[in-house]
Amino acid sequence: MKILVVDDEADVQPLFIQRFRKEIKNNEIEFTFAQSGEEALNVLHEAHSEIVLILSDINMPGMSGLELLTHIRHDFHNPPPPPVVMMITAYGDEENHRQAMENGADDFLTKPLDFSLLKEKLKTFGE
Amino acid sequence: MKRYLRRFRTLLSLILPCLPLAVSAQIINTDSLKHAGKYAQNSEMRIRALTKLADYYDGINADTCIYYAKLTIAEAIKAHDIRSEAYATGDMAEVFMNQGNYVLAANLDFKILKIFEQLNDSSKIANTYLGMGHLYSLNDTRTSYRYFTSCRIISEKIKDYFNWYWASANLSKYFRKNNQLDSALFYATQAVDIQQQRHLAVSRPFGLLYLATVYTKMNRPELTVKVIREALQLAIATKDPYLNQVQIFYAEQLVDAHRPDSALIYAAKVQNHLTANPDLSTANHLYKVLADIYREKKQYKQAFEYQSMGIKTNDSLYNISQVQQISNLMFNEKQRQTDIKNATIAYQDRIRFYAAIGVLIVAVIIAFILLISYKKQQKANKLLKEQKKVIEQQRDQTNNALSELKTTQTQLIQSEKMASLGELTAGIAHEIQNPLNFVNNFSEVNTELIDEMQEEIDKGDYNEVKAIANDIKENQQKINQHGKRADAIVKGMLEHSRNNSGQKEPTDLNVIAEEFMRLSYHGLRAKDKSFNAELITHFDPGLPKIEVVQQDIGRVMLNLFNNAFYTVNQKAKTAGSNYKPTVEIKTFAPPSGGWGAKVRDNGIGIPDAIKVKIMQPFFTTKPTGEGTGLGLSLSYDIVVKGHGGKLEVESEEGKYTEFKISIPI
Repeated sequence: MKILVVDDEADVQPLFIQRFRKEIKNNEIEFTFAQSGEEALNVLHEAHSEIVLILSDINMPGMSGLELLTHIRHDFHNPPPPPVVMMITAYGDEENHRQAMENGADDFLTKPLDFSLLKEKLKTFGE
Repeated sequence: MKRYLRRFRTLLSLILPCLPLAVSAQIINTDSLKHAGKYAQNSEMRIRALTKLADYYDGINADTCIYYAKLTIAEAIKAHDIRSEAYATGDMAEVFMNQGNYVLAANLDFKILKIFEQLNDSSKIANTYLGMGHLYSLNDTRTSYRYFTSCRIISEKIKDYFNWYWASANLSKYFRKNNQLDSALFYATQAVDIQQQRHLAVSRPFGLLYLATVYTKMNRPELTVKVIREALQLAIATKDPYLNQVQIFYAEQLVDAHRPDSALIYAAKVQNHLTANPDLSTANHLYKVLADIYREKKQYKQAFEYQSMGIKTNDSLYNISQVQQISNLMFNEKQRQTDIKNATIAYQDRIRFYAAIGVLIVAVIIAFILLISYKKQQKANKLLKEQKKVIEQQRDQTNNALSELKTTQTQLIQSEKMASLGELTAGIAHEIQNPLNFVNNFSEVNTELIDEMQEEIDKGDYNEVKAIANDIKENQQKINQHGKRADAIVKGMLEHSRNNSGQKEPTDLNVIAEEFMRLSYHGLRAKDKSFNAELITHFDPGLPKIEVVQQDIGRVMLNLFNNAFYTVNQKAKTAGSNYKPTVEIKTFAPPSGGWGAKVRDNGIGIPDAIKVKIMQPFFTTKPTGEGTGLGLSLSYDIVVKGHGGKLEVESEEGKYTEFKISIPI
């Protein structure tokens, strides 16, 4: 399963790699990283058919996570089936949640990230 | 100059209630001026029209006068016309003085004095000294004397006869009150001479009245009468506005000379004039003189009637203007107490006189007269005491209202502080969640890694153990790094709350501006996720550090940025997708030195109609409950009053708004 993680914080990359080191070692999950919405769109244009799940921060300079989500939902609806998108934010309020879901997100997570919860969700979506 | 002539009359009416407010009804076309003040192409013409409007409303409507004076100041600042700015500020000072706000008036006078000194405008300097002399004459006659003297020296040097005349007249009054009668005579004579030699367009009878007053005090009745007769003839011939005063004064002299019947003739003339032209303050003085006349004629019933009428007019007089009353309460009371004393002394004198006659005639009559006099005195005293009580009550009420107002103001300022704290907190929360995410997760990973390392140790695979130990170490460094990041954010927050003392310290304002731009941006994004804006910064790194109260200036920057982000967000809701919300900060060196910044947004702009109101307390365009309307008003206070700086606004409706702030070293 190929997952794209979008976050402007560089340390997110070693964090995901270490948190999922067993899954990576067992070739269950493969990660690709992007540090902005624009970069994420480039990645998707090149290899979107392989990516089944996108985890994106909302609050980023330039294109925000919500804008990225809108692009994804508009530009990538041809088969194969659209990727699962989960939004991540430091503001865990109702309004953010509602907006993310309205824009077509599949799920919503708050920082600090609870990885055991995330793994649970990945299992559900991976099935 | 017109300004202080008018101011002088107003003051006279406070001090000597006998002088009428001889305000000339100057007829001007306010509508055409209003139009010119708003739409004239040329800023010079706008300023001239607005200045005339401010002048016109001065004395008619204080609020309107201030409104136009402020517009003039704004226009003059834009056109770098320091002189017009100072003239308009002078108008405001005058209004404040008439409203009894002496401290504010004095502050403004000090300010324009500096400007006139820079402009080397001696005549205006003398004129401002004259105004300050009047300002202080109510409670600090010594300072008042110094200003009048400064005014006299300057105006004498530059042959500015107008200011010289008024300075001399006031100096005469000062010396007269201090019983330095030779000096009083010198200046009164000087004033009269200047007027005569220069044919000044000021009232000559008024000057003569001052001269006559000095002669009376010098106990020179023949000279007094000579001068006052000249004043009287002249005043009748020229229909002088001070004719009533001269006649009343003459009547007083006649009473003193025990010629009550002649006195009555002049008093009657004034009374006739008053029936056609009612004027409370003149009436009040007249009734006092009439009471004296009838007392002299031993017609006590009439004397008592006029005394009562005097008290009544006194009442109405001081009820006319609540504002005037508040400011003069203390003063009136003093005057009243002196009246009580004088009345008592007068009655005692009379009692003695009757007693002497009574000894010659019948003891019984003495007792009878004594009884009547005593009762009268008691009655009069009672009346005066009641008067005093009412005035004291009014003073207490005013004081209470003032303290209530202050409490409310403090509460409102506090709530504005809390509102900006809330906006700060949302920004800070976001800043701190990100490092926390790493601290929590990397430390959990490390715990897992240590378990794995133990397993590898048991297995004896030391290469793997080393690899894991390396990972742990790197993670540990990341935990530390992000912990420090959170620490720095909290410290920065504390720094803002710590400086509550309001102490000024040298500060790099570029840093403060950038920091609060970020906090404001994240604060708004925390509330409205869909919001986005481009932030453009141009910081001039060469600007000096400035002594400021960091927390206060931070609040100003926060307010300016909050407004900027708010307005671009409002516009984004209605404008098409082509609209790019942009907020820009640029710092620069103002011409006067120090630090300057422009905060510009391409939001909805400010309509001309409300531009002058935006700095007013409680003015807000936000829906009820969303804004206190104190943000800009507090900012203005902080920048202008707290730091001697400037806060200006430029805007075009629908296009942009730019706030310019400058803080001197």
